[in-house]
Amino acid sequence: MEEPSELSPPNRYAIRESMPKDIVEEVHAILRARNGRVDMSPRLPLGSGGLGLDSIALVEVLVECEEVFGVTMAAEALAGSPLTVGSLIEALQARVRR
Amino acid sequence: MTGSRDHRRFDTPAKLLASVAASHPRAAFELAGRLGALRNRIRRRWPSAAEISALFSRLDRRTAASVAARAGALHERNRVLVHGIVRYGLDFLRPLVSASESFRAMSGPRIVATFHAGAVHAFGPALERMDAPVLAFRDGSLFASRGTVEIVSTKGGEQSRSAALHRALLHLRGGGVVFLALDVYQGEAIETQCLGRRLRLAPGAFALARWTGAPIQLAVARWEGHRVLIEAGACVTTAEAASFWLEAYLTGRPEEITLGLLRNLLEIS
Repeated sequence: MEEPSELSPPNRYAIRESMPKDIVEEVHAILRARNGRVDMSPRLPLGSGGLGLDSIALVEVLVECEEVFGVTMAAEALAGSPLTVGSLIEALQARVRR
Repeated sequence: MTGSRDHRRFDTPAKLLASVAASHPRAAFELAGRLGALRNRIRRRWPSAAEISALFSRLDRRTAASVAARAGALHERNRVLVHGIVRYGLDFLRPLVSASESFRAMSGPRIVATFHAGAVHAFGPALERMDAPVLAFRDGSLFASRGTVEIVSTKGGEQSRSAALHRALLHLRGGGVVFLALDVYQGEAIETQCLGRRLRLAPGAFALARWTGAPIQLAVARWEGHRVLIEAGACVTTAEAASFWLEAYLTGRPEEITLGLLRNLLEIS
């Protein structure tokens, strides 16, 4: 039987659900690719005063996360208090668990 | 150029005309146009012929003065229009606005983008009539209207701008239409050239198109007497193409330039 070269989206989804640590690492990797900063404290804002991402880059991060984790972020994801590394991970974990 | 205190004195006639715009739109807007042109010829500003010549160098002096007067007329009509919307909402405007067939035929997902040219504040009724739900980016509330048009404020910092952008992204994914003015930006902008000048455009529309594959359809609103015609322009994918289209449009109709766009191009604060 031919071995699958990569996991299909549902399997990938199941693995991520059981491994929240993976979400943290993936999010850190996505953010580091944009900023290069090594320290990714949960309280670090993605925008001004933190990673300094502009409005387009902030949405691009969400879009990239959606693609990587196979989820759709809610409209509220960016509404309200400034998005931090920790709040992004929490929002993603909540969507992945659904 | 502006002399804003001086300029504010002209609010009184604009407000007076706006007060009769609902009952006598023809008289109100035609009188506004005449008043604006007359004021322009007397004061030689808002805009001046020299400012028009600075952008449209091919125009001779007399033509530039005539274009300046017509741009002054446009400015006054738009002021009456804005005061009228503030006073009456869109009720009085709905019968005055019509859209070309190409505009009416638009469906979602689509980004409808305009510039501050012509009757830019008159898009509301045309947006209401679109088949797809519309999300309009707006600083204020001039487009506040029927339920099919949702308003997203672009005011605030990066976080609120990104929230508006994300909201627009979800709207396009749902098959909706996003409406915005390309020459309004806060924060980062894309620099292009228009009429030999630097024109900064909001990058959001182009990012949305990239993320969703939705086309960017340019559109303009133009006064025709006391009525407004909304027309679809080119479909573009880049900021340069959008600026190029605007340049061609304004070269053909220089009197459609608004003071805001003129100041933007001439970099007058």
